[in-house]
Order: sequence, then C-alpha cells, then structure tokens
Amino acid sequence: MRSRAALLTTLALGVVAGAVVAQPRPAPRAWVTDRAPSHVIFPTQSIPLRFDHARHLRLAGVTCERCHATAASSQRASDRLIPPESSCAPCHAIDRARPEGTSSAGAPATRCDACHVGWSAESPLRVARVQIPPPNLRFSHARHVGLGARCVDCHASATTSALATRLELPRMEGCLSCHRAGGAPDRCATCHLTQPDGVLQTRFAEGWMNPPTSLPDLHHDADFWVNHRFVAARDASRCATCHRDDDCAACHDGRVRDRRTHPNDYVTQHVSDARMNADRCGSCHRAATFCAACHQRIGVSMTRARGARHGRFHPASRCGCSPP
Amino acid sequence: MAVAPRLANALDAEVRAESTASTWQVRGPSGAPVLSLRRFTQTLTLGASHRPEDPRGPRVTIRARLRIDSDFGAACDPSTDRCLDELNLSRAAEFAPLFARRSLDLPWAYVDVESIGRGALDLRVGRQLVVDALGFMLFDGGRARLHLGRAIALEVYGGLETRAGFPLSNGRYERDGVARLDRDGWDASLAPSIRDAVTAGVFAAAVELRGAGPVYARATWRRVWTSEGTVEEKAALRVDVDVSRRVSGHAEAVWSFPHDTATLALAGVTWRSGRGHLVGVDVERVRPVFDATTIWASFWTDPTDDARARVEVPLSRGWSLTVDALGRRYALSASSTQTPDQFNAGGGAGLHARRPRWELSARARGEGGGLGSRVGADLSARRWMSQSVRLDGGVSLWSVNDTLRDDRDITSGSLWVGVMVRLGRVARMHLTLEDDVNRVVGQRLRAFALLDLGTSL
Repeated sequence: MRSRAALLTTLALGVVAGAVVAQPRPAPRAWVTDRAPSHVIFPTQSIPLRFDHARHLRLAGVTCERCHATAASSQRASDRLIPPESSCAPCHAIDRARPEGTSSAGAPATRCDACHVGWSAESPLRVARVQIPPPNLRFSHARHVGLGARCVDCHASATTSALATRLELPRMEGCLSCHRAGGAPDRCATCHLTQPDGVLQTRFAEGWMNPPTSLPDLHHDADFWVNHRFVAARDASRCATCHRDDDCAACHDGRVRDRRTHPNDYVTQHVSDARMNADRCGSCHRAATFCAACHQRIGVSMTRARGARHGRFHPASRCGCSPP
Repeated sequence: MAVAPRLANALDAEVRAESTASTWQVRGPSGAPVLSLRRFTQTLTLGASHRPEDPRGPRVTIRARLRIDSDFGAACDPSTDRCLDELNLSRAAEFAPLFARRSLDLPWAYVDVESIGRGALDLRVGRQLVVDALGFMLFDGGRARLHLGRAIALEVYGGLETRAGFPLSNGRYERDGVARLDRDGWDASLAPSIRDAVTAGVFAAAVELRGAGPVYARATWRRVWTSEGTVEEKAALRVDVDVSRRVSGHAEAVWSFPHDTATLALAGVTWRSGRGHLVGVDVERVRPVFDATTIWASFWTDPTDDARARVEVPLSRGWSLTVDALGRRYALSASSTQTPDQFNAGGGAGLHARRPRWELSARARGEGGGLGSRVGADLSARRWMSQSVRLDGGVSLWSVNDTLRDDRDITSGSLWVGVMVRLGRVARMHLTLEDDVNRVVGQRLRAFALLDLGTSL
C-alpha cells in the first residue's frame, strides 16, 4: 500500500513538476518551406496572366494596397481580392478598341497579350478566365490588418515573385507563429471550417483534409493506422477536434473487418498471428471473453460449452486438454 | 414541446443511420460448414449541440448511438443434416455470446458540457468512452475535467463499467457485463473461465500537462472492482517531448498493482525532416495481465520485447514509401528456466498514394522465427469515377507457417471488389464481394452491403 501511494504520488508530482519546469515554447523561427500549400485548403487555381510582382513593387509609389485595394477591409476568405482591370488603368493606358496596344517604347505595356496569356487577335475581346476557388477556411484580412499585420508578414514571397500563385499563400506553420498558446486563438476552428456541432469539416470536394506535417504527432502518414493508438492515448481530445465517436466505432465495433489489420482470410490465419502478436491482439480483444467465447462455441478450448459435439475445426483429441 | 425561437436557432442536430448486412461461412477441413453468418446490424446515431453566442461560453452536446445486431445464420453437417447445438436458437443463451438473433445495445449515450466557467470545467454524464494510456474504458457514470490555467488539467471519472474487453463492439463479441457484470439467464456451469461477477465499479483520476511547452504528460490511476475484490488497478504515465521542431520522443509505462508488475514499458524517438521524411525507433516491453479475480490471471505472463525501426519517405506529390523492421524476443525464460527465449524478426514495406481521384496502397510484410512465420502482400486501390461513384478493389496473398501444427500451414489468396455510390446528399451505399481461397477453407465468398443515411438538421 505504501509503495502504491509512493508511486502514484511520484507520478502526479512528476507531471506537476513538468508544468513548472516546462518553459513556454519559443515562437518558431521565420517559417520557410518549399512545400506547396494544401490543395484541399487552397484548391487548384487557374491564373492565365502574365505579371511580375517584384518588378511592380520596385516602382515608386506602388504598394500592395494600391492594387489590392479591398484586401485590407476583406472580412471573408472567399472575398475576391484580385485587382480588377481598373487598378491597372492608371498606369497602363488600356484601350480595348486597340488590343495591339498604343504605348511607346519604355511606357507601361498596353497590349492585351502583355498580361493575358493566350490572347489571340482572332477573338480580341475573349481572354481566358482567372479561376481562383474560395479557400476552405475562414479568414478576415481586416481583423489581421487591424491588429497591425503587414501584407509581407504572410505573403513574403510575393514581393520577390513574378506571378503570385498558390505558392504565395500562407502555410499553417506561419499562422502558428502567432496562433499558439499564449498568443492569438489557437483552436483549430478559429480558421478551419466546422460542422454544426463544432467538429472540423474534413471532407471537401477537393479531397480529405489531414493534419499537416508541421504537426508531426498528428500527421496521418502511412504509419498512422499503427501509431494512432499512441496519439489517442496521449490526448484523445485532440482527436475529437475532427472525429466523433462514430469514427472510432467505424473500425472498433467489430461490424466491419479492417483489412489493414486483419488481411486476407484472417479467421484461418489468426492462429499463428495470435501466437506471434498476442500483445497486439490484446490492445483490442480481451482473451477472457472475446477469444474464449468464440473458441468455446467452435469447440477449440480448454472449456467447452455443453452439447458442443459436432462440426469442430479440430477434434477434441487435437486440443490436448480437458476442462479444468 | 415548445422551443423558444432563440434557443432553436442555436441548436444543431444530426441523425445518422447505418444498415450493414454481411454473409459468409467458415468451413472445416472436411469441407463441412462449422460457422455460418447472415448478419444484419442497424445503428442509429443522434446528436445535438447548442452553440453559445459567446465562443467561450459553455457548449452543450448530446450524443447517443443505438445498435441492433442480428445473426440469422446457421450451420449444419451435410452428412447428417444435423445442425450444431450451439446454433440451436432455443438454446442460444446457454452458450458463450456470439449467436444472438437480436442484440440491442447502447454503445454510448451522454450529455457533454464543455467550457463551464469560461473554460475552467468540462463535464460529461452518461455512457461514455475514455481512451488513454490505460486503454479503452466504457462506463456509465460521470467525468469531470478541471483546467488549472493553460497548462494543467485534472480529470476524474467513475461509474459502472459497461464492457471491458472490446468496448465499442456489439454483444456478439462481448455481451454487456459478461466479464464483470451480471449474467442473468446464463447457465452457471458453462464457461467457468468467464467470471460471473456482480456489478463492477470504476474510478479513475488523472493529471495532465499540456499546451505549456514542449512537454506533454499524463499520469492516470484507475481501479475496477467487484464484490470479489479488485479486478484491475493500474497506473500509467505517458510523456511526449518535442525536443526540437524535428525531433520528438515519447515514453509510456503501465503498472499493474494486483500483479505488482509493469505490464507495458515503451520509449521511442522520431525525427522528421522538413520535407516529410521520417525516421523512428521504438522499443517496447509488454507483459499481458488479466483480471485479478479470474483464472486467466495465471496465464500468459511471459513478456515480449520489441524493437522497431521505421522510415517514411515522401516520393512525390501524394506518394510515400514506408519501410519498417522488427525484432522480437519472447522472454519465455521469465517464467521457466527450462524454456529458452524465442526470437522472431521481420519487417515490411508499403507504398501509398493518395490523390483527389484515386488512392493506391501496396504493402508487403514478413515475420518469422521460433514461433512460426507469416509472409504476405496486399494491393488495394480505390478510384472515384464521379462525384458519386467510387470503385474499390484489391488482391492479397499470404502464407502462414505454423510451427505447432504443420497441417495448418496455408497459402491463402484473396480478392475483393466493391462499389460505393452516393445517393443524393444524405445517403451512401457500399457493396463489397470478397473471395478467399486456401487449402483449409477451400473457397469462401463474402458479401457485404452498407447503407448509410445521415443528415444535419
């Protein structure tokens, strides 16, 4: 009894001491990644334009806000913030009646195909449409600007790039440099879309949303179906951010056999697997009930049900045992 | 019942029903069917949540699931045309659970109130599931979680245990209360290894460190008891440390007080590159223990030691390769100096691709040594033909070498095809056919159908 109390006290004190010793995690360094953002969060775009952000930003008086005038007041992620043609007109003397352009050498280009990729003189008034599906996020530029955020804080690479594409959109690693414990709200639902009961929406037309590699312990990599028991054991409430009890039951209620765990004709193969991996079986199945119940029914058991005489996998003599 | 409009606007509800039908047969070496299943399972899940206008206000959620499981199968000896006694429905209650025509159960039903007192307290009352380092626990009772600042949470829960071994399963695998609760109506002379016990109480307490830094830790103590005494009393400690943005470590230990032994000890280190590469090493010792009040407590006490290394390599967009190697020692000498330890070794490789329109998974695994061997490979794929139709399929080949019984050695082939169809916005139907071929079962065909209806109100 004394050793039990000592052990429990030690465990509790260890956790509390950890809380005291653990320092708040320092803010991540400037995030740099060459990975493209998620196609589920930022669906594939089509931007048939020719444009050089870096070149324009070197010009005197040209700022992000000058062209993206509505960005600072945008409240929703679905707002369309691509500059309209009228934003270009103050510098580019665009004349739709003269698609070949009117500018002289050195002046800003005015030809349609200077910006519109694929423009053709045969159909001069038709240009390929810019398609930018709304991101599957909630985001308010206005709120971030109001808190002092600058455009380059999230879109730094746009200042050195030519055409800004999905690659210039923020990655979650960057968001987490502010949205973290002790900082801006760090609940997943702050930015990610949710279902009516507050659970994150993870299924979109573009595919499934999975935790990113920047959250390594949650990332659903190929090994996750083996290791998710550790993640759930660590903090099941994090699983509940995206999953309901139904998701656990989908595999763990025995209604449907999961072929990743029990491949092929597993009823026949489980004999050797149970012997080699008894500890693994025990993580879901309790021998005293699950195993014994089926074996008693089939007749392969040290204890057997009364009247169980026919149709055995193994004759009783093969079992080599008798009821205790 | 009248509901005030303001409240009604803040309530969200969800209804979901799943109907699952499957049929298959197990045949003995003689070809005679020894187990036949024609099984139908119906679930109904209800959920409702109240969203407060203040995001930090208390959120109330009610969730419940009801399940009816029926097995209409039978098996008879073709030579005598005599059916197995176990399958005689008039005597079904005499036998261990499995063959219930109608088994009605409630996997969970609870009321959850989160963020009471501006996030200080969470409460959950009803039949609920807890998962932590001590494993699953399904019980009827209450759970309270008190948040002390941002870093520490205290948790206590207690009540009556519902189902011990396979908590979310239905009654065919483990009927409510079989292990530790009431077995009214059962023949007491049957299945003596399954305890006929009275109600089992459960109480647990945990302290958790989270969100304050690179360390996560949870210490849990849990006791389950019946009138016969303590069935289970364990303490567990789980620690995760993010050493840096690339390196993390974890360790876990579970101690069983009645057996006065560590049932689990594991530790591991994982390194991840910025490009998605992963290298992990884990060591683990497992020593199974069983309910202290059962005869099973004296079985299978030899520990198993595992060492495992795994590597994951992202190949290109959506493709990844995983490779792992495993070494295992069965410490049989722990209980008998006459018995030498046995060793197994193995490993596997998997290739996975996940794209918006299709998925592919190929894997091969092998393990062998003193306790036999299993070697096999699976290839599966799924392809969305449109927004509403998906085709599934796969092939599998496994070979088993049973060192105890040569006549159980088999090489088994399997293939399956399936189709999933979305019917409108609320329905999904899934049909699968599987064919297994090997020397023991001959040929076995399984059919599986699932209809999923769900909507939010």
